[in-house]
Amino acid sequence: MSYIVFDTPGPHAFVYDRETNRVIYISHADAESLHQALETGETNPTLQKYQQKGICCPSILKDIEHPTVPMMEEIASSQLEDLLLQVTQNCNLRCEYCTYSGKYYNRTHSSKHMSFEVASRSVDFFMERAKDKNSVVIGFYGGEPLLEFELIKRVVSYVEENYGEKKVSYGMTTNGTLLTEDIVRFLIEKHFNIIISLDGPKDQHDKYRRFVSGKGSFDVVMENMQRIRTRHPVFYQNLRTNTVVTPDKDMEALEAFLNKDEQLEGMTPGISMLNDSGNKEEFAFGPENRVVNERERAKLMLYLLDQLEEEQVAKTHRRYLDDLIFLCKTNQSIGKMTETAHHAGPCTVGVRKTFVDVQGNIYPCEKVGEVPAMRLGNVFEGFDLDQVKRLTNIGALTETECKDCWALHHCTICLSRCIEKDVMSRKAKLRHCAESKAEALTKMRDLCFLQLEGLDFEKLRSLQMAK
Amino acid sequence: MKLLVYPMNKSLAPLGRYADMVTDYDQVIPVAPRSFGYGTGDMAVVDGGMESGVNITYDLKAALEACDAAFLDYCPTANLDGKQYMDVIQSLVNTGRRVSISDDLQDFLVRHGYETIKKLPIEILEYNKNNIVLNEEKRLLDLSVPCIFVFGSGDLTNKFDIQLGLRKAFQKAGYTVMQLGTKKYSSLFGFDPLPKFILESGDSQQKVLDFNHYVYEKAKSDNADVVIIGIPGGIMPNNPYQFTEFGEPAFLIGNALKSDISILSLYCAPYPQEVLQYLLNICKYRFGSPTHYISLACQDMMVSPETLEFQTLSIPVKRINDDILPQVTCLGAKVFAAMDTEGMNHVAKQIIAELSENI
Ligand code: SF4
Repeated sequence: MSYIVFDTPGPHAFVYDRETNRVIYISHADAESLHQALETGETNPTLQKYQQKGICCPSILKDIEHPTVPMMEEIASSQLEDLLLQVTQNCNLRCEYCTYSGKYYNRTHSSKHMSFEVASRSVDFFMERAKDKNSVVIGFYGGEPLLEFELIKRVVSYVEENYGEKKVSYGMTTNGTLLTEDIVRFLIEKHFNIIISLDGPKDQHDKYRRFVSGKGSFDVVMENMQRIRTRHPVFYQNLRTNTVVTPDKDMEALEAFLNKDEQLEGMTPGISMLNDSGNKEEFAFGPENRVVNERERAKLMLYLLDQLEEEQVAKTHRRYLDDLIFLCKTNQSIGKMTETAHHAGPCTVGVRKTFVDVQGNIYPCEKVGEVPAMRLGNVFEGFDLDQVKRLTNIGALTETECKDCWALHHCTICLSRCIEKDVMSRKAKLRHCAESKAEALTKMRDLCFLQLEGLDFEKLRSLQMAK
Repeated sequence: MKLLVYPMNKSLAPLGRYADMVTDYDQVIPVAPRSFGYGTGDMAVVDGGMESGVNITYDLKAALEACDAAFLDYCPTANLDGKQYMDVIQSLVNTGRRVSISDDLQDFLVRHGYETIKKLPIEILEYNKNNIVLNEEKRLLDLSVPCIFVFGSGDLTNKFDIQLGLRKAFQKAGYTVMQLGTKKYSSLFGFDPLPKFILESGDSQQKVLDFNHYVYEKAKSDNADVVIIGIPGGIMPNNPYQFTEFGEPAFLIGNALKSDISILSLYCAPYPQEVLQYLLNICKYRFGSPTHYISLACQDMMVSPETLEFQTLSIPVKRINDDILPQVTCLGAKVFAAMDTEGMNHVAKQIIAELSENI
């Protein structure tokens, strides 16, 4: 159905109507009647009362299509914004969960690396198609990208020589083991945004992130970071860390380390859940993970209600604040639903991010496998537009369900969640629907709760999102 | 005489496309850095219009040697620093070329420590603040000639292209045109840009009166047969997530003058009929300008789903003619593609016919 009834702590009930994208405060009696109408599929006087006011009306949605599909040719020729070059498939570590560790379909470490010819052609391909973008990002990815530092330097010079009048920022995710002084100076000079993979305190980090010899990498990474901290404090403050949360992670210890370790003070930590797209093994996160998430979410809410100091909120969970700000900004009525629409969540593949592998093949991003089913063309021959449209328009996989789903505007499912054994799969996508709807409902509930508790939404809207 | 235009981008595109209308020069050399992604093709790559026969180059050095004069503008989206602009200006001045720059570029250079720009023998193009003749009357004066407004739903809606299209058609039909353009470089086409006061802060009532008197006096002194006014900015806020402007100049000008004909140029999209009617009602009731012509620009407007920022998408005119225009109809208004030369000519002729019947 295109509406949902829910409540928040205390005697409060709400209805969210997808057709108008509005949340309305209602009485408990009305909530119960609307619930009934939802369950039986039959109309009743309460439902009629709301429908007369234009709420909870039957949907006018006829077709599911991503809004960028009709203009894809124009979009793919002018709107590219983020080029990610896989400069090597090699790495000096052998992290157990890595997408190249052999645990994922069609991805393994190899000695293949990108040639300068492929790299420079990728830059040309990208710049020719970034005409409408005032500023762009060029990132370097691996394996471990710093194994190809000479190539990275050549690419940066190539960009400066040929595209100097474009605003370009550079980025890289590195395992942090190869950050020599020379490299750091170069990264500072070129204003790189750096993310260092750091999986928590020594025991947690070393459990997965080990050199080929089997030795843990924690000490080397922390030593490098300490040196940067001492010699380049400003650059250090702009570094970010990323932790991959595996199902066996001790979340309490991780939170304590990332939020309180003296050496990490002032840095921005991020966490990402282990990628299940294309993973050969099924895995699930345990209740400890949920407990920490719930607790930190609650603390964040208390902070918004001025009951806690900002420092008491885990930095790793600030992302949820971004989600609330975004929802708060976008929950203003969008007016009428259109006859053709698509659920939120997916980007325009190849445009939002252009991931180029060592051979010059283009893929949607680093989260999906480098397999023919995900290939969007290559930098020598151009985009395969039909494939770009198909992989963007993922709503088509679940057209019937989406037409009837109240969470259409708040869905978070993207292509990386619609993949099984490296091909698009309706089954895989539907597995994530419950989670996506639960997330949307949690955010909506939290916002309603916050508003009832007196949070000024304009204050929330005026906060800057970190991402 | 060859005029170099640098750095060529969407906002300077009319100078490249309508090179034949640029007065005092018989050729324009549009120079865009390679980073802009336009390559070395026709101006159509920049503005999405039809093939113009004018090609872009990124060989600035060769263009500097080949040109007789140059116009430079500040391009906020480019990674060009003060020194790069200054080097170009200085080399032109040193070789005795005539140089004009926009006041935005002058301000940028001064802000970045290049005060010396003020001492160089160059011309500054800006909204008109000279020779504003105002009448003593304390009432709005009636123009004795027809007046045409060109509204737009925002920046980059090809308003200036339409202003030039109208100018060309009226002049070709033998009429004398008094025109106030939305571009600061309007003078390169032989007419004045808008007076600066209409965009400055100040007493609205006074601005309405002053604008009315200014146009009245200028139409009289120019012996104009027709007045064409480009309306700066948009007509309403475009992005619900970021308030930028709401059409204040349109409101002031709409109150200062009565238009006989108005054109509203919109970001390109397959608008439903009721949206168009709503927009026409805004022109009619908010600006007092009944509008019967709607044009679709070679730009679509989108709000980034991630950052909620405003961004534009270039759409070639052929695509508009083939796929979008057939989907758009509006009762009581003619819809055309702004950058379709034939469509524009046809509309201009229709407007001339309409006005001559009234005269
Ligand atoms: S949760 Fe599932 S059914 Fe609902 S909009 Fe998202 S993809 Fe469609």
